[in-house]
This record gives sequence, structure tokens and C-alpha cells, in this order.
Amino acid sequence: MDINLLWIPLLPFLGFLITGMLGKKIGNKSVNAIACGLPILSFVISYAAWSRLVYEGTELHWSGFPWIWIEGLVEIPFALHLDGIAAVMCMVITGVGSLIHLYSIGYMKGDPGYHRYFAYLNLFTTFMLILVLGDNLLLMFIGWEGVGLCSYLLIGFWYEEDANCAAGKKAFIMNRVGDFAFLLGIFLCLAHFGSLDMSTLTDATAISALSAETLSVPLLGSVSVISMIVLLLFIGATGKSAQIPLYVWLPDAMAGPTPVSALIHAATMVTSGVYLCCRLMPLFEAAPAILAIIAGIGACTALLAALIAFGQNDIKKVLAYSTVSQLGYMFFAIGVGAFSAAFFHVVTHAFFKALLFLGSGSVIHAMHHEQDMRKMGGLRKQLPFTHLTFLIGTLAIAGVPPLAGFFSKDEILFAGYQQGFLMGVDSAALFWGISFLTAGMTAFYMIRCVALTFWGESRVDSSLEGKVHEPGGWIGFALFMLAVASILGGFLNVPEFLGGHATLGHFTGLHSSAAAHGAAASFSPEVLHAAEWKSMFLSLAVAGSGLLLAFYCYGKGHSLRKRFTESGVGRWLCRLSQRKFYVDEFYATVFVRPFETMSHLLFILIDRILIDGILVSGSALLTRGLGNWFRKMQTGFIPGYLLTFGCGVLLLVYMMLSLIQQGGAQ
Amino acid sequence: MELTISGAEILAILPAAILVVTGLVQLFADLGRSAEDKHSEKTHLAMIGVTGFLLAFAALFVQGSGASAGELYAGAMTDDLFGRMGAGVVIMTGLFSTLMAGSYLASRGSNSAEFTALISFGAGSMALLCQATNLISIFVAIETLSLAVYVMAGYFKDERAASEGAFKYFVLGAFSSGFLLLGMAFIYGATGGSVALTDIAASNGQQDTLFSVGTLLVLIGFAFKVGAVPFHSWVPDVYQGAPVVAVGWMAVAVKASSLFCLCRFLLFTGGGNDLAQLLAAISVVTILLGNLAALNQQSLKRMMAYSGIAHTGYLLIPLVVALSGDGSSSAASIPFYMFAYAATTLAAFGVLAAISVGSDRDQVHDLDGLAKNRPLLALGFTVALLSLAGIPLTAGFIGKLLILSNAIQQGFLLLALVGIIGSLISVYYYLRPVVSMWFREPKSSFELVPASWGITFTVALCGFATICFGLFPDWLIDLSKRSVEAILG
Repeated sequence: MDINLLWIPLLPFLGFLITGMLGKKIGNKSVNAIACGLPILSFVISYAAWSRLVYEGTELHWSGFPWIWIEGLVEIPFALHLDGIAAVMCMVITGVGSLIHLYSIGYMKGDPGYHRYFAYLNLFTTFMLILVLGDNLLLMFIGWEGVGLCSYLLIGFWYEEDANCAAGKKAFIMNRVGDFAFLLGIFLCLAHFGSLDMSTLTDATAISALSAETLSVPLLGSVSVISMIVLLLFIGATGKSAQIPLYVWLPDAMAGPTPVSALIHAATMVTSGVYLCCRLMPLFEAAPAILAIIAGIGACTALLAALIAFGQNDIKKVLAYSTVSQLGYMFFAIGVGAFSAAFFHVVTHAFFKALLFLGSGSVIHAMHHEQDMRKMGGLRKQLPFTHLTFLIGTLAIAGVPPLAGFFSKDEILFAGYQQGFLMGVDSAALFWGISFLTAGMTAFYMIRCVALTFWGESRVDSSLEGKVHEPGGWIGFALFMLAVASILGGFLNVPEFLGGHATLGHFTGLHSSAAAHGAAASFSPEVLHAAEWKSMFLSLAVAGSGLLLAFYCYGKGHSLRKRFTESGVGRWLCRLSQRKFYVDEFYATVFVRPFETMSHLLFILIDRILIDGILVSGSALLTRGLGNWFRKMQTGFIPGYLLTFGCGVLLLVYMMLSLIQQGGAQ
Repeated sequence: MELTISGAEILAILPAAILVVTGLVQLFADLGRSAEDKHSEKTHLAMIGVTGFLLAFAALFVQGSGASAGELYAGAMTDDLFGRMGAGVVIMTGLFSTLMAGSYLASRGSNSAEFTALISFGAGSMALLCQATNLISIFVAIETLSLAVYVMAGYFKDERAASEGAFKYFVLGAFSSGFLLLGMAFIYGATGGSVALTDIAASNGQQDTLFSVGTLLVLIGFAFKVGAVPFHSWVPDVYQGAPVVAVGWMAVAVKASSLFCLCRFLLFTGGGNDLAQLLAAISVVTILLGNLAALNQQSLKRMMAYSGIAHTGYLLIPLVVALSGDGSSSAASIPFYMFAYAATTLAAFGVLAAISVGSDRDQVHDLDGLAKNRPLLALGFTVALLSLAGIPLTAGFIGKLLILSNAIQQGFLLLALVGIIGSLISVYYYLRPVVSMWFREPKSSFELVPASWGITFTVALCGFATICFGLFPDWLIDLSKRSVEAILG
């Protein structure tokens, strides 16, 4: 049977159309069936496409139609392509996505914007699938912009509150900065490759043909074209995937409904930057200087976000910063050439982070929209199932074997270790150190989150006493499925030294380290395996100590935490973390406020004085004057009209004759 | 002289013949109806009209099979793709105008078969004009279509504005026909007595001053028909007084057929750089004056009148480019632009017809809150206005893009710049009705407009077509290119 790839994004789009336009008329039951059924169907098709790829080895392609087509100049088709990476992403998007759709049935019950919510969610799925399946950069950009739009719409979903709208706008504008760079990158690709097709952009001969070309860029001097393209695309990725310096929108994006945070701001959309890098792996590998920058940015983001996560009291904010931190890991992996590890982490992260967010949603739902962990505590008794699944998610993200996070994170850290120590790249060693430290911190703050929410004494508001119940139904189902995925997800890509086959890595064809494509001397398997064991024990040790320290701090009767927070340095550090290192304030002072001042100035100078005053009023006066003159001409009397006509004829004939005379004189 | 008519010749006039017969049938079908009947919608007239137009449209494709670009009727007319494209625009416009006419005229209490019959007769002569290839047939076709249009302009004979507009149109039209005829006579004289365009092109009289002036005078005759400055004075007055549906019909069909014919004429006669310069001057003045005068109009009909003048200006640009060098490729934007303009304008005038209850309501504020009451109409009008303004995703955008990019490629930067400035200005007045429709509250007594199915259908379909031409322009552009290549080949 032929599988038409178009159906994968088209089905959720139909769902969007139906729920969006007829949602109110057909009632919530039908909305449920359509909005959840169509993505599930899309999952089934993705699964079918995936199995075709696995068993028959055929990469599906839908050649679509010519889209932006100027013969010989710009030829961009509207075409979809499904290779290994895209197939896995499609499965994740539609699979995790469908679970989150189902979860939303329980979570959004009774919301006045019920059908609007599902319409947006379906639209998001559509765009995300276009992003993943698009066979050229421009189509990918369409999806990229589309998911940004849906993210904006869903962050501000409860638009009655100003803060939500502000968060939506912040996300949108921050992304715009990145998108601008992305767009420039696309233009550069078009200018130098002459095509935006993925196959051309990843073609080794096309890349090597361009490797000598340089561009002169203001401030940077002469830069190789490939480096510039990669840098611009990476800046685009920092916007969407919340990396330094454009990460600040993601924590604010938690203003949206929690399932949205799970789907868009944890599992799928924010990883599209990583996906972009993986998709264009050969291009990125051709710019090692930029890769080093990417590794640095990734590691620093991971560290900074983890530090901020320590001080957050809002359960969703902790998870948001942990997302930023994990995304940092992925970029670190890209930076050290471990594309397959980065992609693997995208997949496992989708499982456990969606699980954590949905778990937090379950708590928030049970607590009647209370998100402050200081007002929780002891929820283990009332919410045993949520607690269990949340704990699984926490252990997975902390890197406890054999849960999903352990394998992917270990691979990333090993890749850094390998480049830093085996290959002797100093910067990589430094960034590996940062990431290594962050792994311990991740374990710590996640246990802190669990402890504050589920363990210890109850600090729940007395008005909620006895009202906190385990949400059942679809919420429970989604949690269960994701918990299973978080436990087993790691086995997708068990490394060879542990007796696995690195299945995912082979399937997607992504390189697992810089050494794999011959950037440096290759190592004998014995050396590699010894290093892998060493790296694994190190990361186990650091995660373990993070966990233990957290147990020690947040367990019963330990005063370490109190002593730390009351000491001078401790208080200062806590404050710094709580206030998110004053990055928002810094941006406000450096960018937002001067910009506002300038806007105001321009408003007065350009708008009020120049445009309104001189141009509009002036041109109005002028046109009115002209109009009056015309009106005198336009007397309505035929002789006047005939006069105009006659004069026109005479003038034209005169001009004609004089032109001819000129021509004759020459 | 023996009179023989070949099969190709019959096929060539088939669309026009069908249209004339349609008009006659409409007149017969309405015979003997009483005065009260004028308030009824008379769906049967529309049905006859639609059938006739569809048949005529189908006849265009019948011609396609026996395509012959050669001379027919002793060189009086041809049957090439270009002519068929022109006839296609005219026929589709006539179809939709007929669809809209019934309910609009019924609400005005003056629905009789003359109106639809005049559309059919006019469409027939316009189809002939698009195919005409000698001076005499061109002149006859122009006069025939003008007569039909004069009468329609004054259709509301009890209204002063209508009679006044129609009379002015008639007198000025006669005046301009004088120049047209004089120009033809000059050409006839200069080329030593040739009337067929091919003979004129082949003659050696082209260097003659008499010939140049003759071409200019013919151009002036056409400039009047399409409303180019300074021969535009009739346009606002006539648009103001004529029935809305007739205005839509005139704005598209008269302009389309005249431009198709002018294009064919100029491609044959050439005219050289001198004429191109004059045409460029006319184009610049037309674009600027049309857009500026439209700026402050409160009456939508007058606004559309000036906007139509401005669009004539844009349409002259490819002719300038074609005259001064690269002929066929630049003129290819004209057929496309006309199709786009037809879809767009019909959607716009459909909405104007829909809101005209009892009397023509055409003030901008009459549209206040339309989106709440008639979202489909409002959407159609919005699409139309955006297309007229040349916003991307619409047909109007592609049309302007073709014209301007062609002009830039051929080095007519100044002309393109004027076009762009004109478009910029135009956005202001095109967006005003949009604001009214979507963002203003309806006045306390918003009369729900009796948009009939015919009008709603027209607005919806033409709006849809506007988007379609904007998203998938390739096939139409291709067709336009081939049609222009067919003229000389």
C-alpha cells in the first residue's frame, strides 16, 4: 500500500478546521473524538511509514507541487520527505502529542474555550509535522513559524489575564529575533547553494564546493559562507530552543495550560532547533568553529538554567528551567559532534519531560490551579499515582539507570569526554566539566521539586483540605503511558559497550561523535570502551551524589539546608537564583527600555510631527487643493470636459510632432 | 464576388453569435410582462443568460480544436488564443453581471430584460473586438459595444445623475470616436490604403509623420474607452449615475476588450519610441491622478472609478515596455492582469450591489459592521480590496508583480517606481472600507442587505478565484504568454 505523506500533517489540520469552525456547534464530545482521533490516526500513518522504512528501507517522499517556482532562479517545491530522523520525530510528535490531547480532555474540562483549545492544539501538531517533514528549508520555516504562532496563541490562551498575554508576546518577540537570523540563513543558503532542498544542503560535494567561499561581514570580517550559514541557523535555533541569550521566554511561557507546556514547551517545539541541527548535520559538521560555540552555549545554558531552577518555587517554573537546561545538553552534544546523542536525548526528553509536566498538571489540577510548591507538600498520600509517575520522570531526568534519561545523557557526556580528553580539545573538556556538574545539579533540584511537592508535611491551604483527589480517566492513562515510555525509552539506543546496538543511531544515520566522520584519529574499540565505562561511572557518581545530597537536604530532620540558606553567601546565592540572575532585568534595561524610549521618540518625531503633521495634513491640504482645482475642472458641464479632452489631444499631438522632429534632426 | 464562409470563420464568430442570440431570447422571454413585474427577480432571464454565456464560453474551447491564427473574413478578424483570452474575460464578466443583475434591479423596481440583453449584446461585440484585425472591424465593434454601454449607463432613466452621466458619456464618446476614426483615416492614407493590421505592419509608410499621428489618435480613442488621463473625465460621473452592476460590467469588460484590442493594434503597428514615451507619460499621469483623486472619496463608486483609472495606468506600463522593445513577453502580463482584475472587481461590485437596498448606497460608512451581518460578503470584499491594493496571496499582487518586474527588467525604473508609489497610496483608500466592515459597529438601524444567491455566489466565487490566481498563477501566466506569442505568429 502506498502511504501518502501528506496525510500525516493533513489529518490534524482537518481537525483544526473542524474544531475551529464548528467546535461550538458539534459539542465537546465530538470535539474530543475529532481533535484526538485525527492525531491518533496520524500516529498510525506515521507508524506505518516508519515500519516501511525499517522493514523495506524505503524513504517515503511526497513530491507535492511546485510552490515558489521561477524557472532557473528559485525552484522551491512543496514536498515532504520522511527519512529516519523525521520518522522518529513524527512518531514522537503524534504519539506523545496524542497522549497529551487525551490528557487535555480531562484537564480542560469545563473551560469556556474548550474547542478553541483543541483547534490550536491540532494546528500546532500540523505545523510541527510540516516542520519535521518539510523537504526544504523554506517549508521547514513555514512549520517553524506556524508552531511559533500556535505557541503564542496557547501561551495567551487565557487571554483575560494581562500576564498571560505579555508572556505570549514575549515568546513571540524573542522567537522573532531568532527567526530573523534563521531567515537570513535561508537566504544565504539560497544564494550560495541555489536550492533549499535538504538533499542539496546535506550533499557532501555541494558543501565542499562551497567550503572555500567567504563573505565579508561587518564586525566579523571575512567569514566562510558555511560558517555564516551555520551560525545564522544556530541563532535561529537558540530562539526556538531557548538557549542563551534568547531563553528567557520559555519560563514565562508556562502561563499557558499545562498540557501545552508539556507538548509545545517541553516535548516537541522547543526541540526543533536540535532537529534542525540534526537534519543539516553535514552542513554543521563543515563548520567546526561554530560547533565549538554551540557546545559552549549549550553547556552554559544547561548550567545557568540549572542554577536558576534551584531557587524557583513554582512547580512549572522548575520544570521549565530544567527543560532549558536539558536543551542545553542537546546543543552541547551537537557542539561536540554527537548528533545521534542529541537526537536520542530529544526523544527520551520528550517522554520524561512530558511525563513530568503532565504530572505537575495533575497536581495543579487537583490543587485547583495552585502552582506554588510552598503551598503543597505531603501530596504523596492524596495523589499516590501521580507521585509514582512523577518520581519515575524525576529519576529518568536525573539519569538513574536503566531509565530513559540515563542512556541519552550518558551518551552526551561521553561524547564530551571523548572530545575533551581522548581528542584533547581543551574547550570541549571545559564544557564537559560544566555539563558534568550540571548533571549532579539536575538530580538535586528535581528531587527538591519532588520533596517539596509530594513529601514531608502538608502545607496545603486549609480550604483545599479533603478536596485533593487523584484525577482519573485520560489523565491517568496519559501518565501511565508516558511513565512506561520513560522507563523503556532508553533501550532504543543502548550503546555497544553495554551490549546494545545503538539502534536509533544507526536508524537515523546520525554521527555519534566528531571522530566518527574522520575529524580526528579514530580510536581502537578497547580504548573507547574503557573510556565509556569511565565516563559512565563518573556520570553515575555525580547523579548519585546529587540525589543523595538532595535527600539529605530535604529529608526529615536535616538542618543542612537551613544552615546554608541562612549563611551570608547562601542567602545571596538563593536570592540570585530566585531572581533568575537578573537576566530579565538586564534585558529590560539594555534592550527593552531604550527601545521603548526610542519608539516613543520616533512616535513623536516621525509619526506625530512628520507623518501626521507634515505628510498627512500637508498632503491632505495639497490633495484638497488639487481636489478643488479638479472640481473646478470637473464642472459637470460638457464643454469643460470637451475642453480638457481637446487640450489633451492637442498636447499629445504636439509632443508627438516635436519628438518626431527631434528624431529627424539627429 | 463570390461569398464563401469557411468552417473556421463560422467557429470564429460562434461565441459572439451565441451571445447575440442569448440577448434576443432574453428580450422575447420578457415580452408582454406588466410593470409590476419589474419588482420580481426574473430568475429565468438570469438562467437564459447563464446558459448563453456558458455556451459561448464552451464555444471558445471548440475553437481551440480548430485553432487558426490566420486571417478570416478577408482579414477582418482572426481566431487566435489572444482573442479567445479576451473573449473569455468578457464572457465570464458578463456571466457574473447577469447573475447579479436580477435581484439588484428588482430591489430598485426596474428589472426588465433590456438590461441583461444589453449585457449579452455588449458581450458579443466585445468578443468581436478582441478578435478584430482590421481598422474597420475594430471601429464597428467599438461603436457597437459603446452603444450598449451608453444605454446601460443611463438605465435608471428617472434619475438625474444617471441620465446626466449617460448623456455626457455619449457626447464625449462620440467626440472620441471622431479622433479614433480620424486616426484610422491617417493610417489608411499613410500606408497607401491598407486597413488590415497585417498589411499596415508590412507597409513602408511607418516612417511617415502622418502615420505616427494617426497611431496616436487611435491610441487616444482607446485611451478614452479605458479611462486614461486626460480622457478620463467621464469616468466618475458615469460610475456615479449608472447601476452598480452595470458599473462592474463596464469597468471590467469595456476595459478588457479595449485593452486587448489596443494591445493587438500596437503590437502590429509598432509606433516606436516616440509613441512609447507618450504612452509612458499618459501612464504616469493616470496612475498618480487616479490614486490621488481616490484618496478622499467618500463614495465607494467614485472611489472605484478613480481606482479603475489608476489600474488603467498600471495596464499601460506593459504596453510601453512592449512598444519600446521586447514585445511579446512584456505584453503577456496584460491578459493575466485582466483576468485578475475581472475576478477582483466583480467581487467588489457584487458587495456594492448587495448593500444597495432601494437606492444605491455607496458611502464608505454604509459598510460599517458588514462583517457581523454578512461575513461572507465582507470577506469577499476584503479579498477584493486587498487584491486591488496588490497585497500578496492575491491575484492583484501577481499581476502587479508581473508588470513591475517586467518594467524593471527592461530598464523602465522610473515607470516602475511611479507604479509602486501609486500602489502605496492606494493601500490607504483600499483599507478604509476594510476598517469599516470589520472594526466599526453597525449603525443603530443596519438594514440587513437582501443579498441574493446570485450576488453571494458571485462574490464568493470571484473572491475565491482572486485567491486562486494569487496562489497558483502559473498556468494562467503560461496561457497569457502563449496567447501573446500567438498574435504575431
